[in-house]
Amino acid sequence: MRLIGAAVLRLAPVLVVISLLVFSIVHLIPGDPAVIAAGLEASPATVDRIRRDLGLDRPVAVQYGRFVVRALQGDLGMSIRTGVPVGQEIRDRLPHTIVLAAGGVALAVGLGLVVGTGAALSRRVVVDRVLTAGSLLAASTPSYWLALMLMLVFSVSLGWLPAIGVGTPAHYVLPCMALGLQSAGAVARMTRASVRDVLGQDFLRAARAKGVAEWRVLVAHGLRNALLPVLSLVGLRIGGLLAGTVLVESVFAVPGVGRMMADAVVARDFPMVQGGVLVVAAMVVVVNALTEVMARALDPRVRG
Amino acid sequence: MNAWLAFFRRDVLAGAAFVVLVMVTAAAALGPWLTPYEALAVDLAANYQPSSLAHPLGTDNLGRDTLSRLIAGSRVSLGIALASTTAGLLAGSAIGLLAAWQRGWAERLLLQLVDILLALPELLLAITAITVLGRGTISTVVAVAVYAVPSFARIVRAAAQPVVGGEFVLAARASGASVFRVLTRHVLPGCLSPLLAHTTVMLGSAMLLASGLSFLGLGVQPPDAEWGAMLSRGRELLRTAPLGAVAPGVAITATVLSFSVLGDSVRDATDPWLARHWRHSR
Amino acid sequence: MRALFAWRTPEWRRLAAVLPLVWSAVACGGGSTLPPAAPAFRDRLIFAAAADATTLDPHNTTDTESDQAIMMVYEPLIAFDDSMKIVPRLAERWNVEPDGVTWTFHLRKGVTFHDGTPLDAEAVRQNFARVLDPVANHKRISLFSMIARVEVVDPLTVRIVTKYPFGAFEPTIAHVSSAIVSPVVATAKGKAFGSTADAVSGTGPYRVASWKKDQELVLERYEGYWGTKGATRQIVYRPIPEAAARVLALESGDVDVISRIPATDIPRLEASTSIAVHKLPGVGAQQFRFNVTKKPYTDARVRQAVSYAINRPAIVKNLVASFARPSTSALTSIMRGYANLGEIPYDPDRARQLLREAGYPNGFTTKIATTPRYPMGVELAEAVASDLKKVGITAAIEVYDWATMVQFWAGLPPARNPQEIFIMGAGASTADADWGLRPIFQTAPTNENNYGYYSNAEFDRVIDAAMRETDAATRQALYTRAQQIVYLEDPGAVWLFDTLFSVASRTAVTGLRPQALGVVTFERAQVAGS
Repeated sequence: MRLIGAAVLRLAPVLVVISLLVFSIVHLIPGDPAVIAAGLEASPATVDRIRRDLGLDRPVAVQYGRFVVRALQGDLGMSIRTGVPVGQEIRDRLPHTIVLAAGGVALAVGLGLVVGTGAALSRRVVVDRVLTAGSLLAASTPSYWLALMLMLVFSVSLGWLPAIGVGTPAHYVLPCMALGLQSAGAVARMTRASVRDVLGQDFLRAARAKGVAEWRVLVAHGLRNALLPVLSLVGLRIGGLLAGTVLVESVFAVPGVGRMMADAVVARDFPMVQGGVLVVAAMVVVVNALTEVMARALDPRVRG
Repeated sequence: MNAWLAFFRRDVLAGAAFVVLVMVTAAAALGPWLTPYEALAVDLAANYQPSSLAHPLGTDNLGRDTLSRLIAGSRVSLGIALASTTAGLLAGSAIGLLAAWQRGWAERLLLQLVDILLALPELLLAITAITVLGRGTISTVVAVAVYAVPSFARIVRAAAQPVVGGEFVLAARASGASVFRVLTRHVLPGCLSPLLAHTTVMLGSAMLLASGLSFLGLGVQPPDAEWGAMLSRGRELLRTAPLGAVAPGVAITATVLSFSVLGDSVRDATDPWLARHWRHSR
Repeated sequence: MRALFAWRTPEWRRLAAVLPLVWSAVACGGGSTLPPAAPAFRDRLIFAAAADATTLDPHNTTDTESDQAIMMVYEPLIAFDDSMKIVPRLAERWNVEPDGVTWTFHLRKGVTFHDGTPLDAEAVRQNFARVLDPVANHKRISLFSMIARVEVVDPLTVRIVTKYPFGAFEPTIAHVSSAIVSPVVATAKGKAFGSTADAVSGTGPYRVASWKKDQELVLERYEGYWGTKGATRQIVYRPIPEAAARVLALESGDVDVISRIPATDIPRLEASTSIAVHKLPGVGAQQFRFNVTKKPYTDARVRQAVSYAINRPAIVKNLVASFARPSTSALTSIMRGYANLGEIPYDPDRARQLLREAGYPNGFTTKIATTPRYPMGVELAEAVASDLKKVGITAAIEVYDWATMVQFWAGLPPARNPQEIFIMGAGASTADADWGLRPIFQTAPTNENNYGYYSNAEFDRVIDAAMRETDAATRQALYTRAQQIVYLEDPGAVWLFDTLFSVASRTAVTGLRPQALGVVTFERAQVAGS
């Protein structure tokens, strides 16, 4: 419990620094939201007025102060592009992104553990090689391609699954696969390496010598040890996975936070970018804290 | 030399991977002397050509020879991936080792920093780096390296932590070995296997991120050839002229795959040595 | 996965050929026993655009995706028909006094907004007051800067007085941003008007039933519509940002109509028997603009040389054939005021000679800025750079994202744009010569979008005269002269080609209305099948 509390405590300063970073970044990227909002046929006077309306004519420090004060009150501001409150947009979209990310992680860990363990345990080099090559291929295939290929095969050719949109659970299958397969490859590689390491260690040999069933030792010690790096890998990849939602949500037309951020960056919709990044960053930090807590629970050597 | 030959004879896949990497490196080094055509020569009348004797991999939408662009692009792609991954590996390992070694506030601070970097979307991070540094190849390398640092740091710390607490390290310290010596001689080797695995994955990610930057117009600028940019731009042609999109994709995947296969094999081959040290450290 | 693709295509074709048969067999449940019925139509049509509408407030719209939804929900006083002629809409008839500044519109009787508010002259007056309100600052305010005042004559008659005789008055009043919104709902919702389904109310054939951002916008037939009611009960706008995915969704039948087709997919879709591609000439043209304040582009001969050095026929034929026609003027052929001045020939010798005359016998180095936002934007820059190389001009290409590009143009103080040659897609949303030439080529400070800082005294005079000219023949003569100057004599840009507007649909869809302005509407559209 103390560990979880500590992890949550770590969240606050991280979010503050991230908010500051994101705020400076969006202001560093060339492109004036007022100019883009006004469109190419607008007059300079219109642009000036929009800039004033948005408070973009104030010093950046003042803008940041206002942003923080409002954010603490739960107000992330209004979207420059659509005029809708950012908080409301995120609330509407977050469920889609969470389902995608959770499905992706579940697929990555589940498939990765099975394939990785299989590869490590297989006595035949060929099986190991094929499984390893498969996971390598998955890990090195751009998710964009994967997404299009999945759509081509399962929606256009076979007609089994809907190609785009949301609504039924079936709609989430392809996006979750596109999101999770790449990480599954990485998890499989990591699992294989860890299980191999464990296999070479004394306690396994000792247990084997004592006549304990090998699989039992393996599950009791081997997999538990192998889970540690996998956990840290999931922590590592959750950021990438959430970043992947930007692409996957665009391809499968899922109205999630990732796609919202992508559109917001293109339009230089600062409040939307800030709100989106803040929420995603919080998710990453929370997941990382959770993996850390789980790692400590699994391995008494890793102490605080 | 004989030992190498024996190694590859034992492991055919690793041999193949090695050959692929030698070919890619050769293409990168000798590029201009190998290309059948000028990689930048536009010939609109000859665009969208399928595979032929004159153009083994066809031509792109501007009529440029895909094979020539692939060869010309190897130098840029390989260079960016290697340079940025190496930089990320060095900086990340240093941070990770330090965090594992130095308990207390230093660890917390470093972890905090890593958490922050990890929590930021990679592309945003890279865009910032390029906005600050200006566009171009060097900026791309730095941007991708910045993205690689935190994951290396986490991997090394996770792998090093059990070793650092081990009796062997305590004994080494007690016998008066310097911190640097203990870290590099006793702790780092224990991290090698996850590091190697992650490096190979990272090389691929680096190539892909660099291509993402090219796609946003922040990476390598056209008309220069770069695999990732070729892939990104080829995706529109996926259904009409697939070869132009498939070729750079295969090049990237084959290179990344070869790195990984070779990494795995080398690791497996050195396993007994690693295992011995690992045992000592407990 | 990628290797898989190589053999995927033929198999996919085979499957695609079989699938419709399977579907029809399932749909008919045995087929032949059913009695022949009148052609049945589905009660909803699904349209996939590249993006969701950003707003459904006509006074605030600046993008195509918003425009085409707005045109289903709202109506202006007068409108463009399919041949770009101006026809009555909410106004039955209208006339202008001899002074050229007083316009009187007689409104149709019995028109109601979706919220039940009746349309009257006061509603129209409030609309123009709303779009011109400097405090509310709607994005389309500059389009209406020529309006002096709007008066209610009687409940069904409204009078608009302009500050000066304005030649392009009618196209401006037919513009999507002149559409009339319900003053009741607009006042009640304030700044939020047009941002959610319940903050929208027009007089058009469709009303907004629901709107989930980035997911779907559902329009439903407005049963109280004054004219011919919508053909299909529901029109669903389902944005799919990724171009390749959009095409796949059309091919799989997930959607009925798509817009923004990737250029390279058009020939393939045209060859398909289940898909129809509709193309029509529009107001859009692709150009590379010169920054005339940058040396050597201060010299008109250099600009002409660049223009002659570019092999347009090869570009149009090989790179963009599926969506382009050669440019023949600074305006496109369907625009009011267009004059056919012929294609600029490919003449590298002429280009070299002009460069010699201008004092650059060995050429020079320059920069071309482009953005992938335009179809083939990067490829076009590469092709142009390659052509320029042949006459000794070395051009480095710089690729920017859209927002950065717009920043260079509109976000910097005048004459500070560092770009030398930059890509630009022109397309006047009123389909008129005034909006197509004045804002982009007239000298500062009257210019608003003259990002190349073009300046030509005669051009300025001619444009000013044409703007205030209401006699059609004189106006045409003036605009012809203006085009001669900016297209040939003192070129402000390299006009590469005129773009065709294209949408693709399943062949079961009839009654689509793609329009030259680059929008598609669905009030007459139907999807055969059940």
